[in-house]
Amino acid sequence: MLDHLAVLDLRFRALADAGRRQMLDRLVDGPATVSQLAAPLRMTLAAVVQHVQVLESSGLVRTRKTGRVRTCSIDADALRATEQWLADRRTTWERRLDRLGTVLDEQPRPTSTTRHDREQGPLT
Amino acid sequence: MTVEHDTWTVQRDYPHPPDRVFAAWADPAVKVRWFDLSGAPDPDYRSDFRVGGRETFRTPADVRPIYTYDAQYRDIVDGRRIVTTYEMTVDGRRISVSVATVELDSTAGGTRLTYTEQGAYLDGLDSAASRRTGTAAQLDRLDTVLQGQS
Repeated sequence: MLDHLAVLDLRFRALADAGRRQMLDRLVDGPATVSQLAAPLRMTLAAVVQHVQVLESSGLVRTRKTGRVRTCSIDADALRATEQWLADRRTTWERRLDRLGTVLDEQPRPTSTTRHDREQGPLT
Repeated sequence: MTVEHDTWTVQRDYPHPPDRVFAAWADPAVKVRWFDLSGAPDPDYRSDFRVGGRETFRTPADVRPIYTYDAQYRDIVDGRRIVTTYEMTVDGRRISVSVATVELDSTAGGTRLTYTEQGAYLDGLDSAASRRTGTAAQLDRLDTVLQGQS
C-alpha cells in the first residue's frame, strides 16, 4: 500500500502533463474508450496507452477491459482528495473569504423593504 | 531582527449585494462565524464596529501555538469600505503589523470584494507568503518540485 505522500506524488506527476490533463478534461464528461481519448489528440495510440497507464497508476483514472476495448473513467474521490491537498494550503485570508461566502449563502435573504430602508436611511 | 514588507490582494465575487456582504463584516455575531478558522470560535471574540473601535480574537488556549489578533477600525464607509490596522502574535511574540483594506464593489452578479493587506512581517515568524493568496505560488513551487523529480 502506497503511503499518502507517495500517492500525492503520483497524482501531481500525472497532472503535470498537458496531454493527460486534456484526457482528464474529456473524462470529466463521462467514461471513454482509449481510442475515443486518442481521437482529438495528436499522438499515437501507443503514447495514449502509456498516458492512460500513468493516470491509472495515479488513481485518478480507473480502466475496465471488456473484450478488446479498454474503457476509462475518472475517479472523482481521488480527484477531490488531490484538490483538497491544495485547498488545505490556501492561506488564512483565502479560507476566511471562502467561509464568508458560505455564511452569506446560508443567511436568509432580507426582505426588499429592509434593503430599501438601508439605502435610503442616513448614515449613522 | 528582520522585517519583511509586502502588499498583497485577495479578491472574491459573491452573489449577494454589497450591503449584505458589508453586514457580514459589521455584525460581530456573523463575522466570528467566518473569521475565526480555529474550529472552536473564540467565546471572547469582540468587535466594536466603529471608527476607533477594537476587534480582538485568540485561538483556543489549549491548542499550541496560540495566535492573537488585535485590530482597530480606522475607516468605515457604509456598504463600501473598511480599513483596519492590526497586529498578530504567536505564543506572545508579535509576528506582524498590518493595514488591511476591504473594498466592496457592486457588480452585475452581486459584489466584488477586494482585500488588500500591507504588512510588516517580523523576525521571520510570519511572512506575506503564508498569509496571502498562496495558491499561485504553491502551484509554481509544485511545478519546480515536479520538474526536479522528472
